[in-house]
Amino acid sequence: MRALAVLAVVLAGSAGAQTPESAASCPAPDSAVYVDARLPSVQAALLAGGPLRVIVVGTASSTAKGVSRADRAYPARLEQDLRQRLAPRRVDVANLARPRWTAAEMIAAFAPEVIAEHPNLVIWQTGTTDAIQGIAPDEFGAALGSGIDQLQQHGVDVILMDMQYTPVSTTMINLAPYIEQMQWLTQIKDVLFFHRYDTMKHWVESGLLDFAKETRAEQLRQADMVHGCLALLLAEMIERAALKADQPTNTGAESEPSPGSIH
Amino acid sequence: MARPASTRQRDLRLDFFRGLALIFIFLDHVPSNFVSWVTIRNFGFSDATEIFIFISGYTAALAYGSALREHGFPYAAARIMHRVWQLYVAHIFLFVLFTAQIAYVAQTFDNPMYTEEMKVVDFLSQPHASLVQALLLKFRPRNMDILPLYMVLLIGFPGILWLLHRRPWMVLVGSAALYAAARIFDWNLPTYPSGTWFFNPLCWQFLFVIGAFFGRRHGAPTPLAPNHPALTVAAALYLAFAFLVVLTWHFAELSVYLPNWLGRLLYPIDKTNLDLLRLVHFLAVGYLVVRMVGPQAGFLSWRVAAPLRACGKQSLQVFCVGTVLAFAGHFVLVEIDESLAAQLAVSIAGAASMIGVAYVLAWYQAMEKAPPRVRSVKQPLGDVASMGGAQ
Repeated sequence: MRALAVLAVVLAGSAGAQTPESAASCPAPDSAVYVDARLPSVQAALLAGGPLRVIVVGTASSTAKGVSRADRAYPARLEQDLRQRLAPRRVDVANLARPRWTAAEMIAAFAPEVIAEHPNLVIWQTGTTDAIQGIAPDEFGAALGSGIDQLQQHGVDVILMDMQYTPVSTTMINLAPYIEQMQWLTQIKDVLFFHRYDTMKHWVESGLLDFAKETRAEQLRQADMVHGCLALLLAEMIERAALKADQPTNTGAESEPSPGSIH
Repeated sequence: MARPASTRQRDLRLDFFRGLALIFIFLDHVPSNFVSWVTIRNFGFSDATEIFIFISGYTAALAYGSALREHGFPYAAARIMHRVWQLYVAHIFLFVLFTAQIAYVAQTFDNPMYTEEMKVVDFLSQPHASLVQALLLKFRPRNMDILPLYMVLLIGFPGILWLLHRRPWMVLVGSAALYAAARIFDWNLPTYPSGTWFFNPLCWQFLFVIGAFFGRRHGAPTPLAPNHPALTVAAALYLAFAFLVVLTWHFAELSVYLPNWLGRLLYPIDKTNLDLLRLVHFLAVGYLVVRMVGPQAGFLSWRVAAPLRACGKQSLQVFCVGTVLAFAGHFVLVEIDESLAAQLAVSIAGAASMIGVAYVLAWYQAMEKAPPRVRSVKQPLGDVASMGGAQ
């Protein structure tokens, strides 16, 4: 645990990534970015001085679709952010997002495209396509569970991420049963759950995000903001989880890095 | 066997709790509405759907049971089919309204960030297929799952009703067997363009039949459910347990208190196939309600309860109005204002409109049934006819 404490000090010193988004401009409900599991593989990589390998597996909302430039999508932003935070360690965030990818299809790609790359962490963004296609929620949950098991068996840490909040799709489809499945799985499988849906909904309700924005320029600016904030919140989540000590309920005892106060 | 006389005295609970379920369903159907925190689904495993389906089964047995006794099977079956037809027409009407709304939103909403989510409106480009599938009940948007379920349940109901009056236990056991088989062998009906019914009728029929099983004995001197303190304690403990588990879903800080082994045992809690945890939860709620709230319990006739009872009496119409209002409310939230204040306003306005519609309908039906000039005569029909609603 001493090694962890040293790591905390090092990270705290290098924190404060100089991005347009700051912790203050990216508010998130506490329970949306709650860290209740460890990231042992990430922790080991950091303690060894790097490198840290992250792979984002997701659908269109994890690509640069809608943002102003390719490097403004959250996986690219996360890489920049983590590199600043964890310097001088090497950090690579690969993006394996494909439009209209169901959870089951992603799992098929795990062995050849994910596990073969020996990542420390997979950020698994899923649920959107399954909900659109009306795949039974329990079927989705079963697929998700087997995917998590597969990754964990290969020593890969997992952060699960749900759908983006959109007022339109919620008219047509009921996302709640799918989010529920993710909620349950993260509870029983000791993986982290990044509640993107709740976080974005919080931004809409607090006026930070406004879908009434009509011009393309405004839309791009908002999309950049969304992805920048997602990257920042993810980076903070990873950092906090990596510093989390072994005892699962030892809250408060372990040292929190400085940007811990997201709210 | 329930005698017609015993149904004279209205069981206020049926109207009240069905009305409450209808308001809950409306609140839950406005997506991301913070007011829906008050609904039962946030306090345990089951939700308003269970209440609605159970009471629908109960009142179906009550209404069509008396039709069966008084006029025979063909008439009872015809009345049930008449009701199915009404539900079908209502469902298609809602579908058209909904399609108009989604088409409008799809036209005006254009943000490349949501290209993927907009795939959900692809059906607008193939109306030939979507319309046919909608007529076959295989294609339907979110929140339009309950009426098709109700229709399928009613289509099977004449046979169930007939047997229920001869071999009630056989019906119950058969229904349980179908429930178990559908859960074990994954039987469900398909939807279009892919997937299966969100409410699997082969599983949910069990709750409907349980409702009918109790409904058949409505007003009987000896209640079916034994009044035993041990049962009451068990039910209360189960509800408390469910509440604590549900708390851990909403407050991440609490999730450490749910041991992993217990989570593995509980999850997933399958709504589609009416998970046993949900079914038992509803039965526990129902048992405690029946224990604590008598058919004529004081608060049921309070003035504040009257609006809910009014909604419960006009269940089909109020249900449809609630579905439309949920669309409309969501539309307002998306297009105009999505603040918490707007969510509250939409919730209140919606519930008030549902209640308003219920009162207007009650007034209209009373006027139609009243003999000429004598307008103060009370609606002559008891809950038997109006709750089955096949008027």
